[in-house]
Amino acid sequence: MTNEPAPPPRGGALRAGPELADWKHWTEWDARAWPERKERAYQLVPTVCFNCEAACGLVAFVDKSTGAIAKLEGHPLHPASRGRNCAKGPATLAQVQNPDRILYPLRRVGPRGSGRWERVTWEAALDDLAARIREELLAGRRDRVVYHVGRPGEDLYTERVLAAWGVDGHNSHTNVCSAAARAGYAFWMGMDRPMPDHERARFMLMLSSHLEAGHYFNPQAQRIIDAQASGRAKLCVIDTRLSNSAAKADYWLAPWPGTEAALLLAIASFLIREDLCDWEFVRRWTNWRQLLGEQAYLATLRKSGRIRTIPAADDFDAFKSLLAELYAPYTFAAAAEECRVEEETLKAVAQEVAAAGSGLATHVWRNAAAGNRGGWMVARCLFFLNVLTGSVGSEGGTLPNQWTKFVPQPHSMPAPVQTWNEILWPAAWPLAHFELSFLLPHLLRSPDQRIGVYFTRVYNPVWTNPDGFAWIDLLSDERRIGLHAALTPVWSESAQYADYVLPMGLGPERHDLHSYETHAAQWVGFRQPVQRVARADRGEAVDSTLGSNAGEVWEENEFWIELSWRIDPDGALGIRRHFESPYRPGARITIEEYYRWIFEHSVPGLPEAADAVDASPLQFMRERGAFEVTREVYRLHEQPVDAALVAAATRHDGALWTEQPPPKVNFAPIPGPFRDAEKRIRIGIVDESGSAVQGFPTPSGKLEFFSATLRDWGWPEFAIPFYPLTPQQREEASACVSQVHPSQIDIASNEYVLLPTFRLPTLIHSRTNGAKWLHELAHINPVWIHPQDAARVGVTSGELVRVETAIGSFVDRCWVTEALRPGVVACSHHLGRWRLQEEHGSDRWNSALVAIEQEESSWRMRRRHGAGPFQGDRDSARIWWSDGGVHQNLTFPVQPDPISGQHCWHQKVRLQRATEDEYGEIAVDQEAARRVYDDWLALARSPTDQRERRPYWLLRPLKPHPDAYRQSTPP
Amino acid sequence: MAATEGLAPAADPPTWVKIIDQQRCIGCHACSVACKAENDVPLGVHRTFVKEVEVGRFPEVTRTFQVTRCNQCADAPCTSVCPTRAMYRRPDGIVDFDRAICIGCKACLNACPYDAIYIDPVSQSAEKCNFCAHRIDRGLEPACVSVCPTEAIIVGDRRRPSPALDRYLGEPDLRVRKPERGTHPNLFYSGGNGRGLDPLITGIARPRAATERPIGATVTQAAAIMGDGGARAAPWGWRISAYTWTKAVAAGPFLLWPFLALGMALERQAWTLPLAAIAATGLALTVALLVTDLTHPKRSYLMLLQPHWRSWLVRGGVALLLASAGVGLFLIAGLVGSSTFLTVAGWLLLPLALGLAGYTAFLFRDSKGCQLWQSPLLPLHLLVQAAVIGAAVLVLVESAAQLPWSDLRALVGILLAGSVLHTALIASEFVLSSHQAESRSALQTLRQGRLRGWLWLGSGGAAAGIGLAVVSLSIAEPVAAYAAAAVVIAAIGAYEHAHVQAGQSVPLA
Repeated sequence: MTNEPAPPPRGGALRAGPELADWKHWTEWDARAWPERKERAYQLVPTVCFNCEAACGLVAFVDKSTGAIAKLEGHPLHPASRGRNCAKGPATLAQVQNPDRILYPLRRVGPRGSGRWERVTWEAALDDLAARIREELLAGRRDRVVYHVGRPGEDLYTERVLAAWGVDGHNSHTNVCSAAARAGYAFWMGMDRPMPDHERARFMLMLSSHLEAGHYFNPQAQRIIDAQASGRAKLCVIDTRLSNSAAKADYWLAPWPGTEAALLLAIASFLIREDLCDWEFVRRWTNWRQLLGEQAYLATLRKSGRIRTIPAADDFDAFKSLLAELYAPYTFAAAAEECRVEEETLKAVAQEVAAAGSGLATHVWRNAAAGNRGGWMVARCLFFLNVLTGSVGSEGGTLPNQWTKFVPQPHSMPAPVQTWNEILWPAAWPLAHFELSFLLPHLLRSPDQRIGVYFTRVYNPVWTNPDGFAWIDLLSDERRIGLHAALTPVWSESAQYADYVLPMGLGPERHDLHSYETHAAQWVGFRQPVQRVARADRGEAVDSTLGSNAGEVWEENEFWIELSWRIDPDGALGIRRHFESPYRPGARITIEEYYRWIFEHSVPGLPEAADAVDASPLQFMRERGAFEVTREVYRLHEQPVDAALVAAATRHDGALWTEQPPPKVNFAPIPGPFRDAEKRIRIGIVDESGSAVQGFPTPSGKLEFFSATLRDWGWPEFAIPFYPLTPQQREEASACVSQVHPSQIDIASNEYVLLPTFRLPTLIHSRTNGAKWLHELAHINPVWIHPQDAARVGVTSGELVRVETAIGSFVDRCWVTEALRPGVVACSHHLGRWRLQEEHGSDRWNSALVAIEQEESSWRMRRRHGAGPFQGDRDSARIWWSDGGVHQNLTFPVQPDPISGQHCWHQKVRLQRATEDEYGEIAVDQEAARRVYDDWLALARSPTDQRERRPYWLLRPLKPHPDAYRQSTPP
Repeated sequence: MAATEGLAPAADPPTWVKIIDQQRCIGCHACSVACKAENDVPLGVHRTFVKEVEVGRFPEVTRTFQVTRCNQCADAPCTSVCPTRAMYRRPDGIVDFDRAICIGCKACLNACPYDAIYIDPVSQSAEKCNFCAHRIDRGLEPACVSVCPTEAIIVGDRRRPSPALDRYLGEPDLRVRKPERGTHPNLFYSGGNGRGLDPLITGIARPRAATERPIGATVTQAAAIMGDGGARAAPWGWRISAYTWTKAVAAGPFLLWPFLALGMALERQAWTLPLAAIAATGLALTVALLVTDLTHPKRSYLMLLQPHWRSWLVRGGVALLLASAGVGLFLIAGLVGSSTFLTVAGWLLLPLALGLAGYTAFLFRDSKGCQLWQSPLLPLHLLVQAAVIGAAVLVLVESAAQLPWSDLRALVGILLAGSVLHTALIASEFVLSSHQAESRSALQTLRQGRLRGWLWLGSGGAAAGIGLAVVSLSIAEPVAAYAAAAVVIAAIGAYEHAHVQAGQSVPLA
């Protein structure tokens, strides 16, 4: 018995974790043996969390006696997460130890989706995949190999693989996520993402919930709370639902969904009206001159009644007058009425915005932007406030994300692909951000269209996307999808419909390199397979991640190298050379060599930093896992162009052009390049004072208050920030009127708005599969309903309600709460996992066993039983909850925004007290789903007078060669 | 290498304190999960949890987050009740535990006013947040502190305050939970509206947006925190309710020894042996109930091997042993047939019976988590109940011995008077304890909640017993007296069950 009181630690000073010098050998007392002092020895290896987009640092404690990961703590040297994590970081351990994970490659037996599998070797899977891809490439079908990825968790690696193969096969998830916000930002500044600088902000305005979720939850929450708690900055959250973030806010505004842009324009109107703008910033950095020169466009504004007269002068005062006239209708009173918020609160927020000036940090990423038709305009109107206050790129303002992201160059970069994939980039949405990925079942409708090889990775379209039954239908169809390989650590709804299920590593079991816009610095993070690294450190010969992870769990990056060699065994296709060692000519590159080359050649400052501690750059990164490249990246648009370049450049149209641009250092995606008629590349702009500066990567080089792109690509009415306030305006501008705008909801007919997009702080879509501690904290997604509405529907907390959408219905329990506005209900999309087989098919820790029935276009899902104990390990037998929530997304039709291509998530629903339905029951009519798709498709516009498929300057993943942009049949 | 090597030795042991900054807490549950990973805490229980409370009406509504866990009390009730010192306070202020010597009596679960202790489903021992003592002794912050994204949990040495700690400790509105319990927590709450601190405000308003109510017997204390504030699962079930009753059966008759020895001309031989047999059975059942209620019955010897004398479990154990010895002596005396011997044994048994019947009041008083049991009248009430049961047992014993009515009358009188007093004491609970919120909640459960039936059986039975006793006295009818005795014995059992369970029914966290 050793409950003798311990000797107190001397000095009383505590540290968050072991210091770097002790990482090779560290001992701690075993918590389960305590108070007996049983020592356990660890090696600490840094890696990066993969449980959300933030990519926070983790340190794995690898047990020296077993070689297994004993726990994961924060990584103190990580510049973004600074040693701290959310619940999902430490929960990674549960995923690593999950008895339900997939340990060996599996191949289906019997028809797709029938749930029967056999174990295969990696060799067999690689050979089959390589042969099929090679066949497509040899036949010149470069649009038939598709890699569909959710959150990639890495920069450039896989895009490089696809470019090397020469396929236009990158399909991302942005259109169910961030397409609207991206479009809204891109039309302003080219770059498609904001980086609110909470570290120095004087006011923080969010249409998001970054204190509990999203990009980049933990790093930003740290900085938001620091700002708020120090009294430096107040926080305003605009969200119809009381999120945890809203609960922490100094101001909470809960507008009717879809009206948010009106609220933001009221603040803009106030800034303009009260002369509280940073006019000098607006004058120098917006393209107001361009607008004043567009007489024809101004005439259309007058015709539509948005202005009375066309400015006679072309000076800045004329522009100011124009602005005042354009936004005069957006008074506080008008916005308060439109949005149904308190006018006084709105005024107070507007005054905070004005007072913050260049210290205004704003953020929207999904939220209202992802919920509504015209949601992209919410981002555009929000960033308008940054422009008016001069808080673009400033200390405490909102920075373009590309300034705070660093992507180093790999040893070989394939040429841009020459193909355009019309299934991923359909003509109807030329401005989409980006691939119309969630429409795939509708776009691949005819039997002659097909994808030969379809990879899914960190992506679960059946479950995540709207209209999941259409996905089941597509993935089950062997004519349309030739082969589906699911690269995944665990089962998912979509993996049930794969031909191969190939187990890939979790966060601490794989390599990745990435950089995200968490604060005003550029950094790279290095995800590592920690058991492999520990083995190598022990002196074992390790040449593959396979063998260091559990079972035959591999990692994609080594898999892609192997696969590429098998596609092009003799190098004749020109693929193999991109996967040859830069150190051993002609030999297959190892993953170590891939990163070694990058760290030695492409990360500024890293070789020197490594040298300073007598380490090689690779060793430095293996030991530290992260490197800060640069910090304080403010006002880069003002930076002068290098004098030598200026001297050699040609000047015209307010910009500098050159035939020999400087070599690229940072490979973070950037809009452009912009070329003149002679194919010279723009390297800067001439600002108002005549200096050559960097400017912004937009066609004008300025922040584009007026977007000629929008005008020229079919949407002149939205070329400047706008919100239709009157019924007539709504009729004329229906593409920017939310499908759940008050005018669309007939409350008397029992219609409500469903907000289906909110996250929980403890889960991340289907990726937290197997994290038992997280499921224990959250396993139901009831429908939030205000007491008034609950009384109308006749339900109380815990009772069943049937939620009817345009194409079907789901049955869920109610949770009666004051935490959202009457007329609106909400349901988290983080739950509702299901599986078709008792033993596999989804996350057994929280999924329901279901049965699917189909009769012609009518689909039905019924729950056979909920979550419960299963034979696995100590804890799987102790699952005390019986529920996993309800899968609402199945009942949503696709609603592609006509401009951004964003799926507009919010749903118009009817609510019925469910008396005869069973919990979790889901019904969908696929014919109705197709009709809704057709209705939304009809709203899209593809201009007939454009020769390109898409404005070349806009960002595009895996951007093809300009030639591929040309329309196959020129108009 | 020890992490603390190289640091200057401290003159005094530190006193570790913890601050929860509720202004900084964002309710993300990083602490809940980091704790599980660090301490390998199984599903179903939590050492720390973030409670959410919604306050207000739309749009004037907000949600507060409340990190709830062991309060590291300077006067920790869990340590004083522990019979083996498995719960103990270290010189540096940390309340730690040793799962290897826990016998699983669950007294600490009821002693804790914060519901921070649970029986671990794997070790079957009492466990809780121990400030990550194993990390502290390596110079590391607890896992919840180092993980917290917003630095909402701050730990430090109160004797060597840092500027950060000073700032918090100097706050005028720094709160501790339930200061009136006198536990002197070393866990402080800063900021926030304090609504989350009171489980009785939040018990019904707690959001259930993400988790279903725990169901079934697998739910332990800390898991109940995750529900919607419904009834707390009682650490002590029917066995402990029953033990108070079997104990009273054993002790009760001897409480009346003065009446037996002095006031009544009884034919002693006729009832000595039955009485001894009943007492021995009562004692045996009591021990059996107590031992089988332990999660580690095989470790019960530790109570004797390394007793913690402050614990009323240990003292009660001694009372049980002494009473058993006394009953043995009494039995021998009965068998020998020596009247003097019997008289001596009987008088010896009187204080032992008092101890046996009454000690539970002190055990219950140490259960700081059960406010209902803090009534100053509880010792009296337990003795009255035992005396009533004693009188009833004697009535029945004498009925078996077919004694004349004249011998019975005095006992029925005692039974009647005791029952009236017992009923008055029941009523007094509803009057004297109702000003305290937790007791009020317990009384509510008694009156209208799930224990309603037991209360009515208990109090109705007592009333029926009174009626029957009055009838029997007024018409000198032994049969009515026998009925009164049987009814009263059962009624006290029912009431005890209601009382024991109600005391544990209040949400504490």
